[in-house]
Amino acid sequence: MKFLHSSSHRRLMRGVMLLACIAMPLLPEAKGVEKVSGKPWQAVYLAGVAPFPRNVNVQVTIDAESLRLAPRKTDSFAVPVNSITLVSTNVKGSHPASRAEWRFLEGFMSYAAGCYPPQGCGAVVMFTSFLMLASYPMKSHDYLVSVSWREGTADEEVLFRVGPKDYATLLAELEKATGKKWKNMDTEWAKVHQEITSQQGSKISIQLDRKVRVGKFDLKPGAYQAVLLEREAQRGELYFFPGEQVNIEHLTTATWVEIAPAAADAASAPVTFREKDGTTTLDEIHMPSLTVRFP
Amino acid sequence: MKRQIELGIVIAVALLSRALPAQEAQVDGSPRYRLLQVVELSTVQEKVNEIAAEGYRLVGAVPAPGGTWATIMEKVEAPSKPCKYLLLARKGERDFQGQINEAASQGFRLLPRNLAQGRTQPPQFDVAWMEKPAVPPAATQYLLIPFGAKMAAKASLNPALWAETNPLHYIRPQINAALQQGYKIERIVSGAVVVMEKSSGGVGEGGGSTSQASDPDPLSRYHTLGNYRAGRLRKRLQQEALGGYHLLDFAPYAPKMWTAAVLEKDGSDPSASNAVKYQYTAFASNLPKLEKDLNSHAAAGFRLFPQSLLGAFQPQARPDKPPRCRVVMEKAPEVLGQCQYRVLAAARLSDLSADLEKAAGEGFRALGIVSFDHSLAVVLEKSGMENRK
Repeated sequence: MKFLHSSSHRRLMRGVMLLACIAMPLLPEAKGVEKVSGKPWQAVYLAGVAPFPRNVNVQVTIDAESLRLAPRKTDSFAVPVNSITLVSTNVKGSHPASRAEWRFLEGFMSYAAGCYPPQGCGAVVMFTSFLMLASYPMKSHDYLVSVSWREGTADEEVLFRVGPKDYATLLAELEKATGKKWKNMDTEWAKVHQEITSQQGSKISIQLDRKVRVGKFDLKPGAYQAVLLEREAQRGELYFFPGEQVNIEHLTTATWVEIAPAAADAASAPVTFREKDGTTTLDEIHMPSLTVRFP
Repeated sequence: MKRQIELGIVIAVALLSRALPAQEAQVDGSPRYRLLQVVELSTVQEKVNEIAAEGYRLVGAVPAPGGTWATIMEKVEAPSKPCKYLLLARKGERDFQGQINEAASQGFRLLPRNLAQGRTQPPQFDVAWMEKPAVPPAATQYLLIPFGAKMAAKASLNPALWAETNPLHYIRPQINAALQQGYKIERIVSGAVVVMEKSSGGVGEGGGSTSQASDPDPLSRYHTLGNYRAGRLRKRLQQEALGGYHLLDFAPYAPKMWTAAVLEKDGSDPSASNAVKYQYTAFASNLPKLEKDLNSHAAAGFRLFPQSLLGAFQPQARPDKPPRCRVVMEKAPEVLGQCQYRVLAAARLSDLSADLEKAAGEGFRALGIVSFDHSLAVVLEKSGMENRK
């Protein structure tokens, strides 16, 4: 007891503290030996920049600082969560996806999505359920998670597969760690499906006399029905259906649009076009109550 | 009290030293190179266009370790005039030529050095990068002439070709017809396809040479070399150069007995004393000694023929030896001075960020990326002494 309060003990303790403070940052892979908190998820590493073989079993852990992939026999690989720019998911074979669903995803989950000017690109984390596989029943259920991040001048990605039970909890934890909101396009599509059905009464009938590109798809000349879903002030989503009816399964394309007051010149053409780089796109659709402008 | 201050300083220094590495990545907000190593091809195109919008142009793209695609982009232009990129991937037996020409009609042009960088060995023509520069190029059309196993099987039924040793001559009628229409050979993906390009200034459209249009056999202007070892390749290239030919394309992954090099005849008479003559050297190398080999030949005035060092080099039969590559270097008559080369290699492209910026500061420019089994290498060239006549 006497020793604990002796001056030699105090000197020893002070020396140990000093050494620890100096040595801590010099230790190689100091970050790698930090204790990882949080529940581990079992996954199979499929591809990416992690320094271990593909198709190896890994444990995935997420804490406030990093998403970590840890195989059994080699060092773990960490992705700083604050550098994550995109998380996308690909649910293979959970249920057959329709062509319309694919068009919806292409319309809003392309590079334009999340980067539409009023929204801002930022570092939005998006979760995409790409259910665009062939529309026949599949037995396997692969829940693929792709994580992209940017460190310095480099953009990198890892892809891994998790089990169906772990899928939702892992994504929820990832959202919590990144502090960024995400959209599950699977449920979004179900909501949009309902909205379009309820808005069919206010459909816009248009006649195209030439081939035009809307979003990623070309619309052939002919009659179309467009359904506008207003999302916020002066902005909405416009859905195109061929023919005279709104048939949700025949969705041709979907795109963001600006909503402006009706044009003063009521006699102007109902649809105006613009040419850019040899491609014709829609410029405006004029209606009695409002004008729809294409970005 | 004094001890507490000392302790505080030590802790502060310790904490600061941990924070420093995070700050060294960028000196200013606009690095010279942007790097990309991602899994999905669709993501590659999306990211490449995002980066291009910031004023970068694609330098190279290759399949990389870990099932990824590695891409390097260089800042060259003002962000107000970005390039656009299109990555076409062949899916099944769809009309790939039609897809390419449709994009070309919208102002895109094939980036010939980044063709055929697929994962298969030898690479098939399954991936094509197209670029739409800020200033739209002249209208361009492309022609893809099959140059693979099916073509060879078909040719084998023709007795007139039984004695023919040059596989390019199996498709002589198609190539001659294209050359007469003003197309030129752009790239040979040996064992897959010959890519030909015609711009609006071609034959019959108000520009270019009309000699090919009147020549009944314009393919005779082209010579080919097989997939030889480095020593034999060097000798044959030198012989061809003395005969007035220069290297047009080189396919490093050509299958055995298949065309690896295409040479085109110069306009001048090779027997004339003032005839333009190229010189060539070829050597085998591997990643650890590549920089040294390149610089030793560069000291003699040679310059890397970039097509010879593109794509992915697979491990050879002996796993204890690093993958080897054949490098072709060229000494063009109108170029004086010597180049310097630097080869930066790492398992992850992001590990090269700092070295690339440092090399850029020293005047080096990236020529492209090469994938060596488990490593990625960026080849940089410095041509400060270059003085074109």
